[in-house]
Amino acid sequence: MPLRFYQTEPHQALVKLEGNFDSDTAPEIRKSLIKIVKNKGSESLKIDFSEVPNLGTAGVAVLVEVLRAMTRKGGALELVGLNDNARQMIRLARLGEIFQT
Amino acid sequence: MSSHNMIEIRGLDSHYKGRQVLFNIGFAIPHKKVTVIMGRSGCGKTTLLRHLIGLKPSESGRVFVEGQDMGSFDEKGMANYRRRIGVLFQSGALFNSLTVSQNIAVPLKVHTRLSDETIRIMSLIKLHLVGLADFLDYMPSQLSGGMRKRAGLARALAMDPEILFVDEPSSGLDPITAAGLDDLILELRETLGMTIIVVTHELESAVKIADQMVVMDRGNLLAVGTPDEIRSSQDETVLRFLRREAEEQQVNTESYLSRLLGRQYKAGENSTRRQGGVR
Ligand SMILES: Nc1ncnc2c1ncn2[C@@H]1O[C@H](COP(=O)(O)OP(=O)(O)OP(=O)(O)O)[C@@H](O)[C@H]1O
Ligand SMILES: [Mg+2]
Repeated sequence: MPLRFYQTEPHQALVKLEGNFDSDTAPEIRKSLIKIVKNKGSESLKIDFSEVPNLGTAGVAVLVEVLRAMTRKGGALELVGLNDNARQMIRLARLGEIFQT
Repeated sequence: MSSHNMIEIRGLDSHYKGRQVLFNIGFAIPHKKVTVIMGRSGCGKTTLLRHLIGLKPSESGRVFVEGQDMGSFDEKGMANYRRRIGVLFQSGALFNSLTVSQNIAVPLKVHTRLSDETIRIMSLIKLHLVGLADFLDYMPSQLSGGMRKRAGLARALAMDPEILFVDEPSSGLDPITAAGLDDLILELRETLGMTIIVVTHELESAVKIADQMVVMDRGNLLAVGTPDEIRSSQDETVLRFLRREAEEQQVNTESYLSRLLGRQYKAGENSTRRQGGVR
């Protein structure tokens, strides 16, 4: 699944995901996201979900890992462009507040 | 009711070692709805589920998944189907040597390449959903019966199934926990559009969660319909079932007496005893 990474501003990273984020694709996306989080520039990370038709629990779990890593380095994580399904999955995991959905 | 069916059952018979236990069962399980299967103990509910999850082979032309004959699935087709379904067995069926969270992780470890940490978080998410997040390191033997059921449900949900089969999820649960489970089932249907098949003995719960109710009787299909349709049924057997009335068991009594007396007992044979109020 394609993942596009943009350094929009010096400390602002934007990742655009394209395709499903589920148990099949989560291992690769996780690797890429962890790399980006470790990147010095990414103090705040925005992930764009507008091209993600389906978010599974595996994807939600990876987001938790990314959030944890971002918080640890004092940064922030923002999710944008979530469709209904993605929002429902996050809420079903009772993480709606944490991800502000 | 949706015209789109997830599973269709047509003329399904089933046998155990030559003894027939299901007779010409036929109905459809609609997509993204809750279907509740009811009927007295031993009427064949679990056996029917075993056919629907591919654990008991069905003759070709009997069970269809999205129009495809399950009898014609090859190994790969069956494996694909199994990845799309989640099953909570009547017994709960946890691995006793694994902790609760390891139990939930089993299907994820078998079917995916996810990292241990991702799997750990996923297990926690599912356990929280069934109210067991504080028990992830417990062994199954340290859980109550109802908690084991809920852990089994968390495992059934581990792979985000499209179709969920649950065999008596609320047996052994107190009414409040059972009601919580009903709410969870409705939430899964509502938010994820899951197709859910529930076997239950709890009429109140069935009426609350069912889009479609299926009533079985001694291996036969007795009635299929919405809870309202079932409740307004004119069929004597359905009504007796709903009223929880015991049925006359003349045949069983005879076979029981035959066993006791060691020979064929014929009704009315010993009239003095009958007058003595045996029946
Ligand atoms: N593994 C088996 N081997 C032989 N006979 C079986 C087996 N499992 C079930 N049966 C028989 O099939 C019939 C239907 O059993 P089944 O377990 O499907 O009933 P059920 O409706 O699920 O009952 P309950 O409500 O008690 O769980 C019963 O007569 C039972 O004796
Ligand atoms: Mg059963």
